[in-house]
Amino acid sequence: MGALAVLVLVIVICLLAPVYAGSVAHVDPFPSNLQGTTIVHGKVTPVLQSNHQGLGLGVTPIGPTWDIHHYFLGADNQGRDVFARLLYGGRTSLLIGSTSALLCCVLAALLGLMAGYFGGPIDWVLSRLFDIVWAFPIYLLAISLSVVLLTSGLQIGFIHIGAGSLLLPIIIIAIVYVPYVARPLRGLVLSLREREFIQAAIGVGASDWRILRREILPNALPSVIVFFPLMVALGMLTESALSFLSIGVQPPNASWGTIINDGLGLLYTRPTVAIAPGLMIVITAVSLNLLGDGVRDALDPKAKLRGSI
Amino acid sequence: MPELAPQPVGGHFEFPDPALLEVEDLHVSFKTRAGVVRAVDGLSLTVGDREVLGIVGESGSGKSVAMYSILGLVRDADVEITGSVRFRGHELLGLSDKEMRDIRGNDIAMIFQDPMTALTPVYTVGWQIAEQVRAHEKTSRRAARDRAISLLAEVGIPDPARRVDSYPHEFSGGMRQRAVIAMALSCNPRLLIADEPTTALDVTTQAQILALMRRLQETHGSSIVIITHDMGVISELADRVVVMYAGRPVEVGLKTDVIRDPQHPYTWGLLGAVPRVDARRQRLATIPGSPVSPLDLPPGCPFAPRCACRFSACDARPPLAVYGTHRDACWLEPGDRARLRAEVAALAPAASRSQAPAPAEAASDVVTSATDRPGTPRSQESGPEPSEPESPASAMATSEESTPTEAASEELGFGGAVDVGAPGDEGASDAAPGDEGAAAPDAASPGGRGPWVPHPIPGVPVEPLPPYPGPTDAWPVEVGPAGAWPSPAPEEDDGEPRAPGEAER
Amino acid sequence: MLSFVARRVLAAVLVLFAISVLVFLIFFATPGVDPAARIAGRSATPQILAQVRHEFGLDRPLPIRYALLMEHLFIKRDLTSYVNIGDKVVPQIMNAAPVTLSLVIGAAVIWLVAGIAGGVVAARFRGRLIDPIIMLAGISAISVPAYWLGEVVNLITESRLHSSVFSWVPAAGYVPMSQGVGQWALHLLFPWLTLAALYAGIYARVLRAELVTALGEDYVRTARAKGLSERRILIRHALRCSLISIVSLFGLDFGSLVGGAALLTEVVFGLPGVGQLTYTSLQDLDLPVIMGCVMYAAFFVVLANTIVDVAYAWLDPRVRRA
Repeated sequence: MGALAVLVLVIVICLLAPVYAGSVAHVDPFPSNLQGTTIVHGKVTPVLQSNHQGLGLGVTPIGPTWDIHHYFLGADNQGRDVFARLLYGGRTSLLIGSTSALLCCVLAALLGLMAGYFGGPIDWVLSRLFDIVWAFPIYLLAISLSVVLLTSGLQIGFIHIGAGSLLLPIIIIAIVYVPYVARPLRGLVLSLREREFIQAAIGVGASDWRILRREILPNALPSVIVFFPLMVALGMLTESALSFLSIGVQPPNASWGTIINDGLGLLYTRPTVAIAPGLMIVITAVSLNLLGDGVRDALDPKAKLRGSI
Repeated sequence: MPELAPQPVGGHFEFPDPALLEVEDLHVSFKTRAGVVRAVDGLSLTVGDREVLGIVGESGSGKSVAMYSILGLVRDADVEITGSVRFRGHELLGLSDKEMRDIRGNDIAMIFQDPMTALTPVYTVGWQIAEQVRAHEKTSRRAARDRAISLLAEVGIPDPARRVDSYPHEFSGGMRQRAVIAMALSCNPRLLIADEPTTALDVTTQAQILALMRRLQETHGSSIVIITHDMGVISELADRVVVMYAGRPVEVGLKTDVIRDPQHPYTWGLLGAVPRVDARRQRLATIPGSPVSPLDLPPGCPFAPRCACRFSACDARPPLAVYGTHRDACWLEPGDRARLRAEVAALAPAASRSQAPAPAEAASDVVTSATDRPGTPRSQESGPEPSEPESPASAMATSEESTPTEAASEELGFGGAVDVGAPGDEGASDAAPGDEGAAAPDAASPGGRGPWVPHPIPGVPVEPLPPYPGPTDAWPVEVGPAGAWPSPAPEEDDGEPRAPGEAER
Repeated sequence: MLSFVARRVLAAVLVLFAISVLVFLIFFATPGVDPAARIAGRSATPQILAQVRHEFGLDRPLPIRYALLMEHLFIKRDLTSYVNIGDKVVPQIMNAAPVTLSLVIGAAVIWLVAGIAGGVVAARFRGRLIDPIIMLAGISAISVPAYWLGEVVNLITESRLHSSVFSWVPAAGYVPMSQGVGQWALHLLFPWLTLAALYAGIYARVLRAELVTALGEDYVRTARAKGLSERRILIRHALRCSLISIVSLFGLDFGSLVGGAALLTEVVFGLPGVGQLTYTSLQDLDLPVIMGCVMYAAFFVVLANTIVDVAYAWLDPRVRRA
């Protein structure tokens, strides 16, 4: 329950990003703001301050002011409000995490059910496909796809997805995790198929479609639901890793991963820039994982005994 | 009026001397969120030297839990065990883990129901036997292995020197049970507790395993407590019987006495004397809370809610007392019991005409062993039962599983129609096959879903019988060969070996 | 057992082939993209483009293109980078591999010990205080992005506390074992811990669930009835059976990490391993190197899978006859 509350809180805060940027902080977190100023302790202060030590090259953004109206968490090296970006980045990260998880679960359910129910050549082909994708290091597969797709976008027939589109990371993440969900589902359907009520339905001549929809899907759905929060967490973590390598979310969009990437150069001077989004990721992923455990316990009381917490 | 005070108990069979195991007023209860589950509610029994005690009762009657608590195998943190368990005069309850470990497997060994899962899959059979030997005796690996080989030979595993290195999955079910028995015997235990050792096996194997246990009991001189729901097993192996219901013993006595002259209405049910009656009663059978929930035991006789003969006295808990040849816990006037049982049994023809054919040949041929007889159709499981998704399984099981009533009653809590094989009821038997065919599809209805609707049986007059409101479907028939003991008085010799699941095949 | 191994090896070769085809298709047959321009890099002249087209047979049918690529990779081993002209791909990978192996093997030891210990302790004391503590630690370890954890570790050990507690921590980088095992281990200590954290969390959770399931099995009841000690039941029976799934998990993880999945840790700690190589080649869009790295990765993953299958059969006698 606590996990769910934290998760809802994170989502609500991130959804309120435009409200915060527009009404509270009065900043635009996307364009660079090299000459901007803000108010610290009642004094007008430039957002980027020249380095006075050493050779005086480069600039240092202001650190956290802990003033919710003025650069709460400081600025990044483009002079942008880190806190506002954090909220906007959260929207992107959560959006990618949840939509890729949704897409992944739907695809996996479709393929897993087909493979498990029809068996034979369909099962063989799908299982080998899962094996191959599974055998690939997930990050490398995602990276390969990202590199290829991000340079030019994706063009299939009439459908064109631009290189900067958020759809690309969503699709990539969804695809690489399909075997993760589809393989256990296939196993589940294989065992369901031998159960008496399915046999009975086959016996009275129900159509495959009807059996899949009315008998198999309702029994397989709880497993998919258990997977969903875990897949959101995984999708979010993968997105942040891809963005960290600059092959996930592309500017001007921000995500927690890209903000960490922005903060790398400032790690020793202004660590908040990199640490804050990381903490957000940890908090969100922990609550998603706890939620996943909770959902599993709720749906499978037997698992409660062996459930963790 | 029945005698309220229990009569003093006499006879060598009641307190065998010297007693190997004495259980006195054992209570086992589990604290759950729903309340306190009283699984065993005042069990007392004794096991004499070289004696075979059968404990019979349906699933959930507490018979297994009682034996597990004796051995300290109940590991629930919320369990409370009270009473006294003395093994060769030493109190077992309250022993430390270490002390209990020295007794388990060494002085008291246990065999479990399902041999398919009872052995660790990743070790060879010989390794697992040697492990037990070496847990209790300082022996070399070599010697332990040699012991394993000779034990395997003793339980009838062919080519034991080679099979000692086989993994459990390379054994058939019967062979695995033999290996489990070999393991249990590896330290020459004084007492062997067998928890439904034959339930998971097919009929032929059941007979073989029971014969093996009988033989080993004679050669090793161990006492055996055999837990079962199957009167056939009792008749095959046991010297004395404890019938348990809702965690309490309801009838205790020598096997021959209990089977020839059952006193408790529950035992009548177990022995198949109670008919399946009309549809109105079947609707009563689905009243929630029947069988009694161990969460909410009635203050009086726990069987009263389902008893056809209950009357006002049943609101008080009946003591276990001697009324005839042996002890039972029932308020009925002993003199009335034969008449009441006959009355109950008189309903049998109607029931068997409609539902339970129990062909007369099977009923009268009870003496032959199961392995000799080809199957005789029994409609017990194919009759209508409250449908669940699994119900097609129980319907299918009729022809495949040895004791399908077990499967059915496990699922339904207390299911399984009563099958009555009254001798001489030939007409009823003849009518059976057609009815069976009519009844079967109902149980295996599409999808196995939806509430089961009791249907009137064509050609059978529905007689309301107010004195016997006992719910038929709730009758405790887990007994495989219900037809094997035609009521009221079986003529055959009970000492004759008889396999369980007699009438099934 | 021998025929089992042979069959697994054959299957591995088939999977490798399939993966090479997949790699080939991703890089040479993505719709709407000119592979020559990608291979040649961003600032390629028409001459270079022509050379690339010829070298990879881009004007010829797909199967021949595939054969040519495989020839460059495995037979001639002369696949060259067009970004850093003249850099041969295969030797680069061979130089990077020991770094990655050092990182992954060390981390694997740590996470196996920590994960198995955590899982066993949590299962042994399930329901008590220590159990949820271990499991919460596990969930946290799973939920932390590895690269971010590395950055925070760097921040603490190299900057914030470097002058006090962590003054003994050397600057980030890799020192080969030839310069002394001590320095090698010292440089790798924090990368090991960082990489191991995630996997220790996963393994502890998986193992605990497996153990708790196993402890409810009939064979454990049999073992108790035999009079075995609780410790022996936990270790020799329950853990032994649960290890089967841990081993399969380990094979997959180890293979993919050696194959380059540790790239985030390598990047963060400045270790010139295969992951780092992949990463830089990605930033330069140096396709020949990327292809080489991916094929190398696939090789290790498949190798690890095959070893796992064989270990599986060794651990679980039921699998052998399959």
